[in-house]
Amino acid sequence: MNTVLKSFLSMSFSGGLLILILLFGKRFLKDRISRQWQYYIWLVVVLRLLLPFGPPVSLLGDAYQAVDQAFEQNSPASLQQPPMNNPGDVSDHAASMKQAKENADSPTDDLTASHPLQDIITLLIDHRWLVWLIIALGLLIRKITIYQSFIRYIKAGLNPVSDIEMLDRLSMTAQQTSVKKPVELCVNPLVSSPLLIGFFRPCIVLPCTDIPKKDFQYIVLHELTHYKRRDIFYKWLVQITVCLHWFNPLVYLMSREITGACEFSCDEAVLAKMGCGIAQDYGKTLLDAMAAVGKYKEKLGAVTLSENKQLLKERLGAIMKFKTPSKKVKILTAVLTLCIVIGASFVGIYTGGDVQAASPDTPPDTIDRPLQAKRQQNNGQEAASQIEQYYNADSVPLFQIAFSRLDEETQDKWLDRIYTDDRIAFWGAAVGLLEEDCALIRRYAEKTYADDSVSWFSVLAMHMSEDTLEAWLDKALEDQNPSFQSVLFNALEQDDESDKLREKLEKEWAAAQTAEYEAVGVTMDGMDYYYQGQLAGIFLDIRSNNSFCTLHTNPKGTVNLKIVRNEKNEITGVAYMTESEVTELMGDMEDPDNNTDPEIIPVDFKTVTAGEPVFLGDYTLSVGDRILYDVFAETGNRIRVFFAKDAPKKGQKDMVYYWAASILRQPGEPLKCTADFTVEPPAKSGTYKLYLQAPDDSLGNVKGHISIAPAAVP
Amino acid sequence: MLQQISDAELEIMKIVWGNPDEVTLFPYIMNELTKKGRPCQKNTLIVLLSRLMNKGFLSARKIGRRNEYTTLVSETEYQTAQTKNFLNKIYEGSAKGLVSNLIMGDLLADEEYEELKKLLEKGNKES
Repeated sequence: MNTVLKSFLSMSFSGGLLILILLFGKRFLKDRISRQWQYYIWLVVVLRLLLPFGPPVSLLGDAYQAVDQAFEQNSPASLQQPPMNNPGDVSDHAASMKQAKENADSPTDDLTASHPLQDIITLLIDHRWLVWLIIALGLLIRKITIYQSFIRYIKAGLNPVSDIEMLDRLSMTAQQTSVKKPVELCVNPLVSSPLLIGFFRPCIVLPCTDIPKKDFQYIVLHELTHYKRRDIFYKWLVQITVCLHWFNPLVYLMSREITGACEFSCDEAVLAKMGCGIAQDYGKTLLDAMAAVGKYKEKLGAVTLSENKQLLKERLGAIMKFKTPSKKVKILTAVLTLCIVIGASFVGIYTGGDVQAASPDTPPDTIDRPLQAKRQQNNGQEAASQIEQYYNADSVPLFQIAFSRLDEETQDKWLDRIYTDDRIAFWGAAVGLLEEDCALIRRYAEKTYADDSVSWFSVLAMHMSEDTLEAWLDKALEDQNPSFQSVLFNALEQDDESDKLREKLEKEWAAAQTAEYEAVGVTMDGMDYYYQGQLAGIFLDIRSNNSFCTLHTNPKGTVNLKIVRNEKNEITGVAYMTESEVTELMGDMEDPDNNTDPEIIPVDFKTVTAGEPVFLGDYTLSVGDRILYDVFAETGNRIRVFFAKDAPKKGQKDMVYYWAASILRQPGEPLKCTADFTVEPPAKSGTYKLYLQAPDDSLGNVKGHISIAPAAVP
Repeated sequence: MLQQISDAELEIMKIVWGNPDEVTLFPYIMNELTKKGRPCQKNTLIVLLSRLMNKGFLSARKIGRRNEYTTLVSETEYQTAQTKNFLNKIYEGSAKGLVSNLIMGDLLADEEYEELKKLLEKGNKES
């Protein structure tokens, strides 16, 4: 509920600014601009003060947020609160829970102890919205009772005028001003000047019937104009505003200003109706009406002919100066109105919206949950401090949660930091939260592309729209950047056309690659690499940014080779791998020493019919097991090897494949299905069926083996 | 206790009482007033009628856009109340004073005097 109060405060502030602008403008334009306008333009301010709507972008929005944060920090209530729980650190969490519990117990202790006053103040601050509301209601009720007693006072001595002639004149004036409702005419000697009461049934109250004809007409005209314009509703709207914004001194100023403007504009309307010729007479009527000194001071809520002497003097001046507005003034008025209305709508209010939007799951704050409400306010700030901890503690999921609560600027900083620190796991977590094609994605795509950081770019590519991806692909093609092309092709989920393009490009890459290797003396024969006539047992090529690597092993090889690259990723030479490097690499790859004997499933088929999966047996797999496919086909286009829980049925679409490898023949090369998997969660240990399938057309002379290596025994 | 009504209001009440129809319509009153040589504005009549309704002399039934007025107080009731009022005010409740004033002040025509005499005798016999 304090959020409501906060938006109210901001509305009050925005409204206050508008009031100041209008008051300032009035000094220059008072006599030049229509009084009607001067009266109704306040309505804009009143609406600004009452309606909690604002455009998402507002002039003062940021300022309010800043003030809000400062206020939250200084508020004694928030100082008394336990620090935000820190889910990253269990001991901290427990500590804060304990503290929270202590805090919950403390109020009673404190009351009996030394600071009862401080406690009450804290309570008041915690429930400041309630304080505000109670005062506002109190003021409103007081205004209403005063008005009621005033009406009672007027009605007590009320005598209906039975003079037909007078009533007839009133009728005629009413017809002139096109007031449809019957207007009651009464006399009450207690009122000092003529006034109008009644929201829906207008009643003009005169101090006496003994009024010259002309005066009577002006008075009636004036009061009927008030009624016609529903001034009494406007006045009450202003009164409600004043009550709600009781803490804002400018609002009282505005109320006074509107009361004045109301009479001015009413005078203006009367004069406009009757013509300027009557200005003098009308002024005299006003003076006569003032001759009787008010006997009942309270004028609240009623519309009277004259409010006070100072105002009267000004009104007389205005009446004498009255002239029909020129075209220039009309245009100026229109422009000013537009400015003020736009100003009013864009000056903005505090919206708790963006803070709440970040944590939509938090329940709506209620009276019982002042703490909850405050937490929401603090979310942004706390996330900023927590994220540091999570990052240092290497906790990606928590980091991700905290990251989601940050504003864009801070998110930018963090992305930059992750990138500099080269921690791609965090990168994936953070980028995953960003919106598709948002500014951050675009910026970092540029950056990573410029830096040639393919893997970083590929994460970003997952959060790009198709159009953006295509634009990037065009760029990559133009720049002849194969690694980026491949990433982008993958991200684009290629259709037939791009499939062909891709094939073509892949061939080009392969050719370029071969040419590069040949430049340093490595030649290729099929899939095998040779250096100085010797078959390479291990061939390793790692780019400097770890983005792309070629690794080929052939057990028959006699030398272990590695390609040496400089920082610019250019191949500078080829080197033999040292023994330790080989051990490290092979250890990484297979851990052969720890393995017990793998189960080898030989594959040897003359033909495999298209479509029909060939069942190769049930195998029990457990988490950690490694699966290796190594199957060749002499003829045919595509080969697929996979495990499944259940036997696939014909035409089944929602088939779940496990560790599936589907290989398309590369032109000019043998069809070879090699793949390497580890049984990992979410896949569970259990019995799986192994299948070999020819998805496109039938295969001929399928040979090779599939091996299942049990998990390493620790 | 009936409320006091102004002369203008009484004028209207007389028209409504004088109307042989059960209900009286606004234009009828307007016409009658003009016939009597006391025309008034529409708004004036509306105000006067609403005052009469407030005082409990008339009731209005809205049918469409027109009001049908019916009397809540008969002419006799009103006269009795007014006479009582008058008696209280001037003769301190003594009807004798009123009658003697009527006779002594030569306010009665001869025929009226005879009729009144008969009325009195008749009233005596009955009681």
